[in-house]
Amino acid sequence: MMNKSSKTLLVFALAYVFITSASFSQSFTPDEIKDVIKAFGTYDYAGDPTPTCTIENIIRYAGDKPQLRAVVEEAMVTLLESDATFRARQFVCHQLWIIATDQSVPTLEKMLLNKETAEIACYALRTHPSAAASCALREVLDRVDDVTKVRIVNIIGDRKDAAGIGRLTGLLKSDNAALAEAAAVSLGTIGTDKAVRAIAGARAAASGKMRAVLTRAWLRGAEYYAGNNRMADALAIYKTLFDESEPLLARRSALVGGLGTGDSRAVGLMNTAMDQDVAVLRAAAIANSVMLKGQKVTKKLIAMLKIAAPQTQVLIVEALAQRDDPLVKDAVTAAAYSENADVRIAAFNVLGNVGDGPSAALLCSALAKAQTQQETDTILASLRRMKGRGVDRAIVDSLSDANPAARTQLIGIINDRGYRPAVKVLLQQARHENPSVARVAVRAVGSLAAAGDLAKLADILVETRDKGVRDEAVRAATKLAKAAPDRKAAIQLIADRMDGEVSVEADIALMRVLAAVPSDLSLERLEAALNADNLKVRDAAVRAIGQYPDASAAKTLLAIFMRTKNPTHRTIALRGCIHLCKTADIGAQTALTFYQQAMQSASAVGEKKLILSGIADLSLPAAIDLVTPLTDDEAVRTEACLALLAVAEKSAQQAPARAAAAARKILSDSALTDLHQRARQLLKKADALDSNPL
Amino acid sequence: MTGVLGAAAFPNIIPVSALGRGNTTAPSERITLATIGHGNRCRNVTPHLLLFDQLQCIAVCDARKDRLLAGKAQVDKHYGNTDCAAYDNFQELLAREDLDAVFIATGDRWHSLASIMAARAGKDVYSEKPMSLTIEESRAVVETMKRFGTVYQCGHQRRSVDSYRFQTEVARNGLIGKVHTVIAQNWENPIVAPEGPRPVPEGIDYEMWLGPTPWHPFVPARFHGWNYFWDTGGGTIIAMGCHYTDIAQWGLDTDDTGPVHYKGAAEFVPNNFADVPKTAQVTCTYADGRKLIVLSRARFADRFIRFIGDKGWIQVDDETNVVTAEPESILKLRQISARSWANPGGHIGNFLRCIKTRQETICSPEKSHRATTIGHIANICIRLGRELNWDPKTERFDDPDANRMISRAMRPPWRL
Repeated sequence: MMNKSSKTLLVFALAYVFITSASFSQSFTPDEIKDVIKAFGTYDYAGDPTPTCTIENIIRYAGDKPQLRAVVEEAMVTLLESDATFRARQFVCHQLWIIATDQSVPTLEKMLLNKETAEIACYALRTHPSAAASCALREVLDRVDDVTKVRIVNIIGDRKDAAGIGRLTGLLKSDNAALAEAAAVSLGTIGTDKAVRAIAGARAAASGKMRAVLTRAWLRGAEYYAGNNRMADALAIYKTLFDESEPLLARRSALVGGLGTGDSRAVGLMNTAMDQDVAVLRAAAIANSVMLKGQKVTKKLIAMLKIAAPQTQVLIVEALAQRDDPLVKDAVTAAAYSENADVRIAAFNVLGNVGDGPSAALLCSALAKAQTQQETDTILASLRRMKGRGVDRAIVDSLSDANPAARTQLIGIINDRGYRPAVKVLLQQARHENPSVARVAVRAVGSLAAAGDLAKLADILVETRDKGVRDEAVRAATKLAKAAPDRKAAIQLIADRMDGEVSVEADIALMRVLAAVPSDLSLERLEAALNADNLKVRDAAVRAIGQYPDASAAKTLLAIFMRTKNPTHRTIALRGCIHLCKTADIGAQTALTFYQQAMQSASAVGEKKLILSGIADLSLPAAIDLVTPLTDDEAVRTEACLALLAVAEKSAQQAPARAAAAARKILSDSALTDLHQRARQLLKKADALDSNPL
Repeated sequence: MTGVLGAAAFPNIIPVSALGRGNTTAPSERITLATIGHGNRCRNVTPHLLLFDQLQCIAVCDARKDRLLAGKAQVDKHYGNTDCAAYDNFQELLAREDLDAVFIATGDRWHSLASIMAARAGKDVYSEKPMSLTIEESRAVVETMKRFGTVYQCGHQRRSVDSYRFQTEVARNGLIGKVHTVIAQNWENPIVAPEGPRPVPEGIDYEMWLGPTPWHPFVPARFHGWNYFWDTGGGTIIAMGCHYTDIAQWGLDTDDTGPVHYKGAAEFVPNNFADVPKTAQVTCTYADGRKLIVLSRARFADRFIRFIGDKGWIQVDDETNVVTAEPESILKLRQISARSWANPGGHIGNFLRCIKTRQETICSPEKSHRATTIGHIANICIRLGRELNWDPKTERFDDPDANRMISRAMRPPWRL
């Protein structure tokens, strides 16, 4: 039989490793709860944290169990009534903050009367939902010390207790300044009609700090009216506080608050602020003008735009951008001609949102005159996102007058905007004498053109003398050929160009296109080029086939490797062949045959290593036979053993005896200790399979 | 493809040079600023503040004498004089009429109240994150800033950093398809060893340090590890998590609302003096079904934020500022900048510009409040140990206990 303190200890211990989640894992009985909370009465600041953790667990557990919550609250009230430590009471009040009901109010009310415990009682009462709590707070107001009184007045306000307005109004005249100020703030927080009237009355007679406090409370009163759709009442307060006799902060607050009502009667506030020479008010009026709808406001801003200093013009342009008003575009367009760079940039930016064809033409023209990178970047960003009518056409039309630098940027924009009807113009630009223009135009053609444009693109590829343009043309032609609905025709078109009178560079470029778009004809033409008279063409053909993406080239590559004496071509061909054997749809048996033939022709150590790396990927037992002799070749022993082990591991299921033999061979070599562990595992597996093949 | 990125309505990053007239600003036109709370964070940010020619730091304030003196020395050294004033009480500082703005980098317990008091005194505010200790506090910051027309910048500076900006642009422009999940990983909270009260060390105004939080004797573990006790902090899920919830909200285009359902789990370990759990995971679900999973786990260096869509994902590794994505081709759209989250220069620049223009900052009170609220609700969820439904419009739960935890009493003389 456990005694009570042992049981309590056990409950604490259980809570020790508590994990909370949506599914609760620990339970408590009413008696356990009472015991835990009672025992907590001696808890102090230096205590072990376990009991606080346990009580938090109890609160969680009791959350959806009303009867248990009552037990918890009762036990906590008992603790508060006892001679428990301050820390214990403080912690308990912090829990009552979450769960307290009327049950705890009388005890908390008593605690308010003691200045030592008033603070912790306030913690529990601050969000206590019952009317009894509000009543208790009001009731004790005359019986507590001044510090506690301020505390309670604050809470009455925080709880928005309208029944406390009378008491708070009386306190506005208190000799205790802190108390009077607290009452004013609380009245502002409560914010009913009655409270606002009390604030207004007191403010009229107040001065100094108290007047400032009451002004802030009155602003809250205005918010109360605005929130209850009593705009006239709200604006009356704001207009009073915007008077020139009021402090600047009150004026700014009134201005922002007034505009924030969104009421058309607040336009006067905005106009006054704009017309007065107080920078902060003018800026605030412009920034908050978006709150007010209608053309009156837009017109005022536009009128200001014509006479304001440049920095203010920037603000106005940005404010206009937020107005859904047809008047905005013309005003901002005018600002785009400003001599001030900041104003121009602001206008360029806004045109990106509201502009159309003529705006785009303006920006295209401004691009050539841009004085800073920021100006250029803003113009380009705006052109990129502008959605109005006729924008694309305007950009295309502007190309003819643009200098090369601007032309290059505009072609980039056309590309970014994805404007396909521009292809005809872009093909013309692709022949531009300035290579930068031509390159970016070819790139755009690659993005925007269709297969029908391939012939013209191929012409450019063949005719250009600029390497950069040619490279772009190769990429663009490859894209078009790959995407062509009739790929065969596209490849034929490229092949036909090779038959014409073309330069060596063009011939090579056309081969690069063919190499990227595999087909029988592509490979046939590339193979033919291997026998070309020109050494450069032959070299390019080897390289093109070396990068061919299709398995059909593997045999050709092997043949090149076995036949050529050019060491570079041998390497390219062997690498290409192995790459295809590893990645293309070539079949393991065929690959093994290729490797066998390649190995017979391999003379350099590097070549053998390369072939071994390919063999290592195979899972054919026959590959073991191919590799095993090479493990005795000192020059490639390590690579051969690695390949042997890899192949044997993959073949163990099919040929356990051969795999075991391979493993034993590796284990017998003391120089290969790094591989021994893998070999032992393989041997174990292979032996097991060999003894029980099923 | 850049055209796609240009489609979202993101504010321009205005270069510092555009704020002043030319390279130097006349002293009379400079924005005067003071720091409140000159601890580690402030020491790191101050050099970035001082880089702005149009700003003059005229004072520092801290309740700890050693930090106060170090702060003054830091500012004086920059200007090559001894003009920087030092205050141990921020109310005296706020009374200065020649002060335009404050940078608040106190402990979390003071962020909202100091912001509110600064606004009442007519100062503009850059406050470190998290914005508040409770939901009510940050809502009060929103209302106060609106009431006084105050320019307020919250220190969620990742909005001003190109990696996160790029990430959110990718998410918002559909480059990873329809985003259905965001994962935000913070590191796990430490285990704090139990410790008893000690005498308050000399040079610390402990009453001011405690401020509006419940009275508690001086305990070094609580004093130095305030982030791990509910009275003074909320653990990494709010301290760091607010950065990520802010980016999540931005990327999901939910800046004026938030998730509606929260479900979480937390791990409380044996004999931990800290209040906050060691690890936690909270799934926050938006009304349209999208999920934000907030994690507090793993090591400090493992933190990240990832947006996952039906056609790919994009992640920023917060420690390294490295962006990864699937498909990888998305990354080609990014214009690389060397600036990482550790450099708040762009964020400060945005604040200073808004002081002049009276426009909304990139981390406005409302956006920051919504991001911070997610962390607060996550903590309420794991503290109560149950699922919660939240109405972002009324900012109330359907759970009475949780509703009480939206706010809590402040220790007088402090109040919202």
